Amino acid sequence: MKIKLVFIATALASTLVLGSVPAQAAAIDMKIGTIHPLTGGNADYGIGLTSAAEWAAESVTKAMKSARVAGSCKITASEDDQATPALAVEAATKLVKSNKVNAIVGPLTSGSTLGAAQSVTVPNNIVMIATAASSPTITKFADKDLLFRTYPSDAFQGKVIVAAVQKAYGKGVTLSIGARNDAFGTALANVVTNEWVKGGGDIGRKVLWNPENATFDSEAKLLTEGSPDVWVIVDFPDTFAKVGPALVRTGKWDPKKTFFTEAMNNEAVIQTIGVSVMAGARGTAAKSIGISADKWKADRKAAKPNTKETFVDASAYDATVLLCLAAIHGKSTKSSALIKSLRAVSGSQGGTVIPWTKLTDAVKAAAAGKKITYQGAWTTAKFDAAGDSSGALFKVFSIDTAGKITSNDADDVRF
Amino acid sequence: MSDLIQYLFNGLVVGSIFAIAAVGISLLYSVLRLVNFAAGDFLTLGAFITYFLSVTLELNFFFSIVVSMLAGMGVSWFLELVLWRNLRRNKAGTLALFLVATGVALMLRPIIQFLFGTETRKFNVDIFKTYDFFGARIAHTQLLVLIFASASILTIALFISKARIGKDMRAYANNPGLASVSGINVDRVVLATWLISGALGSLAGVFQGLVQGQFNNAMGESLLLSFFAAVVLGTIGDAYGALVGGMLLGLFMELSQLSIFFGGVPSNYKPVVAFATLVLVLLFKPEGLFGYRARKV
Repeated sequence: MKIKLVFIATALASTLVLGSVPAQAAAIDMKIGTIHPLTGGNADYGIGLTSAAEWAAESVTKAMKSARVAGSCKITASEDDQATPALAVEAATKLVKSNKVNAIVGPLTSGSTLGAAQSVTVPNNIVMIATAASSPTITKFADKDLLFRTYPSDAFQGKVIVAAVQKAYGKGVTLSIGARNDAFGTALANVVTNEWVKGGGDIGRKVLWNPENATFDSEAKLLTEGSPDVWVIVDFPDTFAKVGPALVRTGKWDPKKTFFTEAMNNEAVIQTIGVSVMAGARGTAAKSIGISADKWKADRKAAKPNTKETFVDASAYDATVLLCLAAIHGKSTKSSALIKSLRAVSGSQGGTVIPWTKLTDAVKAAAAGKKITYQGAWTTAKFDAAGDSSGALFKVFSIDTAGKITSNDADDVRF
Repeated sequence: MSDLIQYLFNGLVVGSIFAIAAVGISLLYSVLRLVNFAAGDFLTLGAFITYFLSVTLELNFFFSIVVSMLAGMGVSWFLELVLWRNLRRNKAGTLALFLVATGVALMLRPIIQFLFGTETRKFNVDIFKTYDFFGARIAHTQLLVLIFASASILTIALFISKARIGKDMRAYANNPGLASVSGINVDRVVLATWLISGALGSLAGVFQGLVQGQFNNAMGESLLLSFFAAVVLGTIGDAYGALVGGMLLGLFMELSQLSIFFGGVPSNYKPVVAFATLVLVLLFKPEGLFGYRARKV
């Protein structure tokens, strides 16, 4: 009897001890695919984001080894969508059907995100975390809770642009807005229009252009009609590279009276479009609200020395880390478990705050099934009910005559 | 008045590019019954070769254009010899030709990407220079494009109606069997059609690169639908029709923004105007604008 009791006690103790050691859990092999523009006018952004996602997966796998958690987190395929919805649908189909990924990081743009989600990831029950898609439409999109994003909504950026214009020119002036005719452009143009009118300003012209137009001279003519006091332009680099010269040719446009959105927050992009077109312009862009962002840039440069940097790269890093931590936390790569655990590790439900610099601790805590607040290099996501990340920080930048971007932290706007 | 001139000019520039690209597509269809889905990629190829010669190698711009047209002809000639001729001899059907053409387009895109990269390019020309003309701002590059495109359109029209090979092409398009037995060298006609189509594709690409100011490897692909619309508007397989169809399409799209048309059609609806025009024309003339003449080239 005594021997039996000792045996049972030993067995119970062993179960308890072994149960709390993550190394004994079933291996988690998380397969992630990425979709970003790797060619075309937005390639700089796409290449930077893809490389950041790869580095994140490598870092988590390393942390899993250190934490003695069996398994790995891998980017198994990186697809190029050229920031085009149709190609994003193709890319997502390949990732889901052929590569059999558990989740997707990306796309970069709102149009691609909505296209891939609507046609592929939602019908196939795959979780996707968009890295720079900002359209407010995504918040309301019926995604069965499968679509998340680490980049703030343009519902914020619209307000920041309007505030920046009001600060520079006052509230009662006339603003004309030009935007690309897609999910990103039309939604942000509407937010800016509504906010501007609400603030007592007048809208001169609102011109939407199709990115695949043969020429943009007629659009440029319309946008400069009525001599507005200020312009807001919502576009991507590849299209504005054609719209910009057309605006200059009208003889009525002044870049110094123009505000752009975040896609122009890149000196390489400004050089490509032409410094003479962009000099003197201003703009707004989301900024990291993550922790140790400068250290992240330095560490990333050391890990991936040949990758061109863009301001938003860390967004893909955080998205990838969150997916890996969610898989470890939920002990499953199934979408239903990932959805639940994404909120448990992103801080939506509280929990110990663990920065990206302590990934091993984050992995250990996730493997133990604890709730954590992962503090990323880009954001502390705290995903809300719609899958949007909470909080945002925006900067107001200026482009000087040499094409350099400058900004003042005092002008930053936090939500 | 200045608005009318401005939109008219913009429309003529766009229309002339549509016309040149569309006539190549139409010629191929009339002679080979082939819908050339790779036509857009010939535009991209032409623009990139001209860029490589004139910017990277710093050769004369006009010389570079001529070489890029020759390169377009060379690629067409190569494809005819290794691909299309064999498919014809093997009696490949319309669907097979259609699929192969799509395959060629899908192959050309990555080849162009591999050879020339994915970055946005621009020619070494002043894209900001403009002239005032009765209040309208006429861009220097666009004026050049309009002049050279008009000359090209005239040359094509004369070639088809006057040159021996042009007449042979018309005869073959009208009745391939009769043309063959009456001594027309079919292989020569087909090769000439490919060469003209390749050269025109490259030329349209250079023109498009000039009017846009900058271009990337997605340039031709994004315009393909408009070229096909121009071909259908002017009657499928009618080269003159394609020329007129292209010009009309460009003009309708740009002029629709004049305020006299319901306050001006919003610019994002330009494709709607183009395709509504196409549907309206086809509703009353299902064979296209030039259908009654039954002219096939």
